[in-house]
Amino acid sequence: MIVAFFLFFVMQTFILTKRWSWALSVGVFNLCYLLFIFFSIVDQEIPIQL
Amino acid sequence: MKDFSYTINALLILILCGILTAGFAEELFGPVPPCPLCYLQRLGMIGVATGAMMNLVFGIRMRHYAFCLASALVGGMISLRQISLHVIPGTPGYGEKVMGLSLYTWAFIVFCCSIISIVILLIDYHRTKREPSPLNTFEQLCVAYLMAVSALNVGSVWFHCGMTFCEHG
Repeated sequence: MIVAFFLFFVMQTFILTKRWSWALSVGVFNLCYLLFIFFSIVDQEIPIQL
Repeated sequence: MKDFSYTINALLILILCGILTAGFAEELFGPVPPCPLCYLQRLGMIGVATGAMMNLVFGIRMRHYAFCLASALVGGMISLRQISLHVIPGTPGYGEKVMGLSLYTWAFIVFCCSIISIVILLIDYHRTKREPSPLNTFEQLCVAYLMAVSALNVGSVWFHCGMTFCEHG
């Protein structure tokens, strides 16, 4: 989880240093990583007893 | 003169950072620590704000709005998942309620409002002056606020979860 937060911080640093392609690449990678974390968490959640 | 869309992008950053700061205060002074899905919703909000930051720094571009929309969709999906976990009558919600709604429900409303505001900005896209220009004081403050909130969240997630996926929630 900390990696995803840190990558957004890195992306913002790239934006401030005017590295557009680096920033967008890190951002898109981070969104994919976010989805990976989300589905891995969802996969391990305890199902609700209906 | 700068286009009004730049001010709206700066306002979007400011509002999202205000919400993230409120979430951070709830984490510090509230009864329960943030859950993994709560952290993922924060990441979605930071993503939307970072897309708006790209608009401020590099000039307004369609692909920056696309990044905002993708972040808002991912964040909305995560908050909808958390709503669905507590949707059955008698299932207690997670954390404190604000004005009768749980924080993840508010997060979903925030993501929906972000999408609507970006759609409104996109409707006016063809008339927007898209060339980048130096940031004014208000925009600089918004960018600094966003970076501070992001750094605070890195510290927070390290404190609560360490280097793991934060699967204990």
